[in-house]
Amino acid sequence: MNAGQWSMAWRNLARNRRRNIATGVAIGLGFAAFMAIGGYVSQVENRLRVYTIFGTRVGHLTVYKHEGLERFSTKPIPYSLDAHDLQVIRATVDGMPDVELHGPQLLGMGLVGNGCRSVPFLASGIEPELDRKLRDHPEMRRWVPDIRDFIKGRGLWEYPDEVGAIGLATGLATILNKNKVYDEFPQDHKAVVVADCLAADAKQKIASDTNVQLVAGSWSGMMSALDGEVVVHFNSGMTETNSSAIMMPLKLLQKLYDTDHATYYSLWLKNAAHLGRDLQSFRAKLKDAGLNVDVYPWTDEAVAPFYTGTIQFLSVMTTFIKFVLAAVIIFSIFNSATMTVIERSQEIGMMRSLGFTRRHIRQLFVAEMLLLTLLSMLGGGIVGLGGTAVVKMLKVHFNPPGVAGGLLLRIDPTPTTVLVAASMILMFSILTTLVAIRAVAKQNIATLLMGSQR
Amino acid sequence: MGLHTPEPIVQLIGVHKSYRLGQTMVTALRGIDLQINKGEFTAVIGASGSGKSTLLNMIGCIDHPDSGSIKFDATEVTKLSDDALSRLRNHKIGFIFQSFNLIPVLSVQENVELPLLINGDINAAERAERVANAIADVGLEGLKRNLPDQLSGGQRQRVAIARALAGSPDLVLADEPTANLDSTNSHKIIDLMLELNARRKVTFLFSTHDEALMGRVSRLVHIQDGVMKL
Repeated sequence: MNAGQWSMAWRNLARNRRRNIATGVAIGLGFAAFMAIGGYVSQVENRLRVYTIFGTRVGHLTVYKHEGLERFSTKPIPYSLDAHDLQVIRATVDGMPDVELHGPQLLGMGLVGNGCRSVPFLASGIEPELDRKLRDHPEMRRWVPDIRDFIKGRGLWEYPDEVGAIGLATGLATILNKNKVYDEFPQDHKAVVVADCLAADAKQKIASDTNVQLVAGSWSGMMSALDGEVVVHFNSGMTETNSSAIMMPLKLLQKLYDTDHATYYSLWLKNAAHLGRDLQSFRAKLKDAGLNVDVYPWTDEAVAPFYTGTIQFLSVMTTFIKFVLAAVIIFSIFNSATMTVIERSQEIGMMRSLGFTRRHIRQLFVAEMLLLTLLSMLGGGIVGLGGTAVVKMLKVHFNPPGVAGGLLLRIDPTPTTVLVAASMILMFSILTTLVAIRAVAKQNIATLLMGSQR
Repeated sequence: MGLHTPEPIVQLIGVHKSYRLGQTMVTALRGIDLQINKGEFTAVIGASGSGKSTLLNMIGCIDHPDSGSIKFDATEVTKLSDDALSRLRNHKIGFIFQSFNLIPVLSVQENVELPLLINGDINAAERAERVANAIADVGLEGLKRNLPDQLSGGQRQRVAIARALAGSPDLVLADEPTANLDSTNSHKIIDLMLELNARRKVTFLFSTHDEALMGRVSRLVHIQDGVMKL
């Protein structure tokens, strides 16, 4: 098409203004809705991804003893990584330049008490320095600042081993009445003994120190107990774990269970785009080293059921909404294009008489709809971005099921989501107009010129 | 002075055409044999429904005959593809319609430019020159930026004539060009067409049932019930 034909297409938009405005509004709002959905899904996907990889510390790759993922909780000794396994894995990882961070973790359960009351806990032991590096990671800062930042207190890495530093999830801290953390008391503050748990001041006494007692069955079959000081409160991210989660240094948890094993070993990659390649290479290296282990990528439902389940649900839901939106846009365009083509059939006949080919006619009508679509998307884009800015400014909180502490609603359309939405709508516009013009462009010129006479 | 040999621009031999009108088949042309020579100023006359428009459609390559042969400049057009016919119309035929058929959002100048937009053989400068000449030929220089709804009926038909002439066609076809005009304007339009026929040597073929115009043409073609009458 030359400039004159584009100019004609542009001028033709001035005809049937009311219809074009109605079609433009449908396209513009559809585009804004596509942008908003894309921005929301992208934000949720990123949050869940980073929460899974960094927040739950699954890592991009996770190494379990063979079948350890399924059997560790019932038979921890044979299905955990022993000291030799850990040494070989660490040596292997040290030779992998793509790995940014790595380390072992131990999971366990038991009872935690405040001297008067004991409740079950789920503990995860991690090397404090690894925890610091993970919390300092840009991905954590960007996508899950509420998980990264402590509710109260400082990280485990700030305290020497002899303190027995542990962290409680906020729900568990409330249950145990340990609402203050270690740094809120003087250095020489002593644990307060509660002699009578039914006394009127018992609750106050419990709250006046940070000492808790952890009790668990050791892996050697004995009962084991140790004292811990609550140095930090954190948000576990999930309601189901926020009233039972404890984090502590790996060594402290190993001491409680009287073991030097770890449940799994996680690797965080420098570039997650190489996940598949790194997974294959890591598996091969561990096999060559003679280890009987399983390596999972973080996308495996077995290690990240919440992520995969939520994303699948979200994907089904948004696909349905997008389908409805697409249908509205397509039918709006089709209706408008069909009406326009029918109204202008005599004009099409005139143009064909002057030598316009069927292709010229198709091009002209597609160009008109493309211009209308681009204009509408520009308007819709402004509305969409304005809407997301308003949502950001209002700081809307909501409580999705299972998420502890609620979430800040964020709709951040990325260039990719905008580009995908724009491309889809442009494609709808072109194809729908071609379908609408197809029959008329093929019609006999004399019939077109006669309008409805024949 | 030597003998002037007529040079045919269009030749129709045994052209038949029927079309469906609702539930019934209408036979519009019944074996038409006709030759139009270059430079002629010819009127096709006949009653309403006699087949005048269908005949012009055949000659203008905008409809296909059921049978028979149509040659344009010795080229058999019934065998040409749709794109080739479009090219032929764009380069060699100009059309003037009864209801003007101007595009309402385009100015006089832009309407006249329309057939040239798709003519890949001419550049923008030549296009502008041809448009200016065509508008000057119909005496609308002062109205070239006006939109069609700012013009009278006679002026609109002049724009249509300028648009038909802009591509420098060999043949201009006009289907009832004066049907929507009063008698004064009708005569002015015929005067203009005659003048252009003489000056530009363009062949004109138009249909009409206005008896007042019949005496002003060099040749009359009578058609009745789809048959040529001598």
